Amino acid sequence: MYNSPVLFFESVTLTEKLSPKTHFVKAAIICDEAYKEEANQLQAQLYDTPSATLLFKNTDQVRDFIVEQKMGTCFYIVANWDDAVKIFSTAVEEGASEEELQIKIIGEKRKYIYCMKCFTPSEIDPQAAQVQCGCGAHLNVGPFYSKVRKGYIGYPFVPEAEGVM
Amino acid sequence: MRIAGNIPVKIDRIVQETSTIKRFRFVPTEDEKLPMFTGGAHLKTYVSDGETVYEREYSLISDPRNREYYEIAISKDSNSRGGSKFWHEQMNVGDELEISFPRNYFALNIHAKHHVFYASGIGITPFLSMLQDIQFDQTVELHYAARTPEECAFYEELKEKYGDITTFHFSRTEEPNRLTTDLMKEHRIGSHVYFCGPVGMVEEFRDAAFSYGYPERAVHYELFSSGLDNSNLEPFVVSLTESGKQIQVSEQESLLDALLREGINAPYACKIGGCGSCEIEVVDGDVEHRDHFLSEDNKKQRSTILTCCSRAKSSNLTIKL
Repeated sequence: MYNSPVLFFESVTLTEKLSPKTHFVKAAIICDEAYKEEANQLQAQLYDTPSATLLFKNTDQVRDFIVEQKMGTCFYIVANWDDAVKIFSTAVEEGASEEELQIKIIGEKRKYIYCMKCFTPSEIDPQAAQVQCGCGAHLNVGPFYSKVRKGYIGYPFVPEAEGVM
Repeated sequence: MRIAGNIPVKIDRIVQETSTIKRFRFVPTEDEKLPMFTGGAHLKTYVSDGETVYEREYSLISDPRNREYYEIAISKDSNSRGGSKFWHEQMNVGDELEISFPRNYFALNIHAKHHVFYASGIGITPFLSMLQDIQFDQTVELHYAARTPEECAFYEELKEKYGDITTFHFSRTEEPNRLTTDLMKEHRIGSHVYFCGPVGMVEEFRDAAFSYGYPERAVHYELFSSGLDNSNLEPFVVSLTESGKQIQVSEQESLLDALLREGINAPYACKIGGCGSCEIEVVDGDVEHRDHFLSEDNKKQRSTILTCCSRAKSSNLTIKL
């Protein structure tokens, strides 16, 4: 059974605005140094909840910080998409679950499709319902995200004009 | 007595571990190996005392991969309803009995980075097989409470095999080291906690874990008895939609007992509200949930009853059976 969650376009961990999760008694804020104002705003909302903050310049610093945290901690993450993916994976590798993560993406969220003709993932316009893969196949963007393939399943179809004999 | 699917075995070794705990080893009587199991599994034993058949569930303590024999350990319960007393006083080497296939409601979580076991008294038993089933990339620690080293079953064995990961908590020694819930505050992220022992201890640790912010998925426990107060129960009538029967449930029996008495093929397993095997859909009536299986959300959202311990809030209940 493959059950390691990954960060994807519709992940339950994503939020537009960070807000303290009440069940947890501790907080760990992992924030890109460039957006430290976000960390300060959250800190103010946490009141007297014990918290630790890491303002990172690169994500190499993140693992040691995560491992130091104790059970009962909620991780609040502020980063761009690529960094957030790395931090999410590191947190999961160290045993955190999606329930213990809240992530605010700075900039665009990214959406990927997995082509069922050439079996490769590629980035797509988040709004598109149909796309063309690099292999030439036309794909319907399916509703199912594959954690194994790291993309929404893309179902090949023959466009009407090409389908006419 | 031979129940379909059960395994015939005989006792080939009995060890007195402490003054109140005996270890029993079973070997198969037929020319087949025993099924493998997973750490934390238990089985049901069927032993007969004339007309009375004692059905009792016990955790397996032997190596889950060992198919030559199984081992269990039984504490002689001072409030025994007959089962543990019979095992201690009447069962001997060479006696034959039936056992069920192993089942596991207390399995190790495969996503944990670190397992922490909290045992009290005979609650050590499931952890003995779990310690032998840890994955290579996971770590483990055991906290084991007993009154004294003499009353601590498997003390020498644990010291020898798992001394580096085991902390003994003796409450009646010159320097008592009581087991407290505070230990849980210091477990690293990715830890899963497991509790087994008296109901009061399990409930105390479970509640503390949630108050320390542990997610529900990281908290696991097993009970050996329901710990319910059955002194002020009210009788009620249960109506069955499938058979159309109406059955009176007295204040002295559980809904499950009443169903079985009337020959209804109702599902069940642990009989202490811990496994969910007896869960039945409720068509009409309110339920007084008394189990340890359904979460608070489940109790609100699911219109079901665990027949082994939960009851009707009013005088009538209709269930889909």
